[in-house]
Amino acid sequence: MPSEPATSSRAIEHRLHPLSIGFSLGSQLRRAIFPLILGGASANFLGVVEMRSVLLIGLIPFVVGSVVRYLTFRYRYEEAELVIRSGLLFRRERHVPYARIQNLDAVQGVFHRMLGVVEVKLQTGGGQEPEATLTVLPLPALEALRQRVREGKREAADGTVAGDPTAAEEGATAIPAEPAADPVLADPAEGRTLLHLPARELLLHGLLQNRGMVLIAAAFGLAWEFGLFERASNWIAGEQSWIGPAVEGAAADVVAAGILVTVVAITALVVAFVIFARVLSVVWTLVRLHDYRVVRSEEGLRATFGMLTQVAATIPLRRVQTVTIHEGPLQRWAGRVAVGVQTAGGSQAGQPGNADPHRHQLAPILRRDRLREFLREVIPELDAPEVGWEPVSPLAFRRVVRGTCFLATLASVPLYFTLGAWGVAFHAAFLAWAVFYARRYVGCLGWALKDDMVWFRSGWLWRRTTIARYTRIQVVALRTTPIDRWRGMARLRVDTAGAGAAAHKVDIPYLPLDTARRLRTHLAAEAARTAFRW
Amino acid sequence: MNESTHNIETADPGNPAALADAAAPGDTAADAIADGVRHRLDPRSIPLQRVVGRIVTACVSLPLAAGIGIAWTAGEPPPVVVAALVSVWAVITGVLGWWLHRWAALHHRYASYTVNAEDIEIRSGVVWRKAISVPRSRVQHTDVSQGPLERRYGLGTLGIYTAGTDYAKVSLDGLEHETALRIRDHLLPPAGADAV
Repeated sequence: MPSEPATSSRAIEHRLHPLSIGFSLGSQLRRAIFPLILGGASANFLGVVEMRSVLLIGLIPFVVGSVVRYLTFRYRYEEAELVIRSGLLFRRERHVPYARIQNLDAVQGVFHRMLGVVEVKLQTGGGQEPEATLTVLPLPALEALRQRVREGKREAADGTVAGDPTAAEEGATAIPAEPAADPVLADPAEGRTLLHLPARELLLHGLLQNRGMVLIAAAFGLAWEFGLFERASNWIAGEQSWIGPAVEGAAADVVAAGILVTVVAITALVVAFVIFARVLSVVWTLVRLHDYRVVRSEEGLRATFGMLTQVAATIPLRRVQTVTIHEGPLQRWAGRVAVGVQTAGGSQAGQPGNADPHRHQLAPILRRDRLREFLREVIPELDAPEVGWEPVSPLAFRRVVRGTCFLATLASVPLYFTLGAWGVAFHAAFLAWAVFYARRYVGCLGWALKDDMVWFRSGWLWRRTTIARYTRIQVVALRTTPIDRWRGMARLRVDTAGAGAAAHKVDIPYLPLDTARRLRTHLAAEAARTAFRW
Repeated sequence: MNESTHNIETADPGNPAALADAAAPGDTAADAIADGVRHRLDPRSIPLQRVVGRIVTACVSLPLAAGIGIAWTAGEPPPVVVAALVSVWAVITGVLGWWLHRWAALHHRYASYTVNAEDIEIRSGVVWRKAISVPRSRVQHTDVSQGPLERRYGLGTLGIYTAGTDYAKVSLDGLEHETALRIRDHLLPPAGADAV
């Protein structure tokens, strides 16, 4: 972009906050610390060098990198775009037109807040391109940035007048409740609250989802890395320790008291562990998702949450590709569901070491009776609440039950060896479960075409339903295995943008072949009729 | 459209009449490529695949032979062991070579493509078959590539890129280079239609 003298007088170059060095070093270290420790430990083990020196030498490039990054990073506001320069050897100048900026996500951790700075993520609609991250800005600079982007967007909108179909559609989907609000000038904090999770709901959410186990596993891993187990075992079972003998004595007493007491004691231990895990889960949820709020603003859906690390994330509605409804057994019992969305471009889900604002489900916990209302805010085209589910092939049960029975038999083979005749009983129980499970699993598989969307549901205990609009379909693929062809079935995959590896996708198995063909032709034709925009 | 959905992936070497020949004389009009007829790949893709198969066989077979040779000279094993090793090597080489030779023809038999006005359908796979529909309106960009072997046979590979995840790139190889270019031109979005 040629910089004209008129604009360059305006364009003062801004730098990041000096604390950026610390923050970027911190986030890099979080990613590099385990490889470093591993490398150091193995070098130590081989007797080459001491672990400490490996760590110190390993840190140097990160420190240098962070300092260089801070010293070379500049941004300036041009007439119609934000220009970001960085790099020492490989200079990089990025031009981000204001009109293209979809949203500014602000992440503030404990340290950020103590020091009055904020990490800002600039998201554009540019596919899988990593968005610009400004680590870190002083708070006034964020406000200035917001202000400039809003002004720039308004100027851009004025420039294109009403000729832009994008603007027209966005206007159509905007809620009529706020007719006076100018879309680009509206304060992001304003809007209608779609979802607010009070402490009660968060408590329930923590109880229902099993975060505790994940945390315990993570803690276990950390303890292992730092050799805490060795120290703990020395402490417990060491020469002068009283804990080891006490535990041993208690265990011996319990075993001596008979099998009933032993069983009760073990059960109590397990229950205590489960309760501990759930309590941990509740605490984690209360802290992490504190004051969870989804607001429908002109920019899209805005989620804000967090007690220690505060996150504000925006999801522009047009970037929503598919919506998935999650329902576990405990959630169903409590009459709750969770709703997640997959978006295209911008958010790089699952980046390690980053507080990714979109990693969470949009609605972590939602009353079942409010589901339809909520979905309609995310997918304005959605109309019908009741979906007429179409089943998969009637032959599907026979195929699934063969698989589950095979697995049940495989699992009971070792029991025959260890338990002898009792193995038969276990085998029978496993088989009964296999048949029951297969029946339920196939019964829960379903698909539907409704409101110009394809719906797919799967899973019995953990049920997931995914909705993809025809306008978001990218590719339709029909696949058959030899068994599929033998049984006259096919599997239909509807590919969309932004579906992560672990995400629930529209991938319908065991369809009758002619249905699958019909669906493929229909969906491909429907997708071809419409244009796709990022 | 109807002919194309007629005998989708279940088809069927028994009914090759349903497939138009790729070598059939094409119309010179630009959009005549979108004829809605199911085409086989270019027959020259079979010898090309066979050459590739021979290279793969050599890549597997030669290191094995070298290993046996080294073991023979270094360890001086009894002749029975040497004979067994050599015969295993011969069987592996023979079976692999034969199978890849046959595979080329099988692959060609089950692969086809149909260019419609609004989408392209690509079928492939012998054991695990798939039929992929890419709507024209979802094509982000395309490319036609030509490796050294492909150049020798006058073939090209068409790559179709979408915004999808599993099918972010759909490629169609074994096309005559000229045909690949024509399909590419057909798939390219009309100028000015796309505004992000």
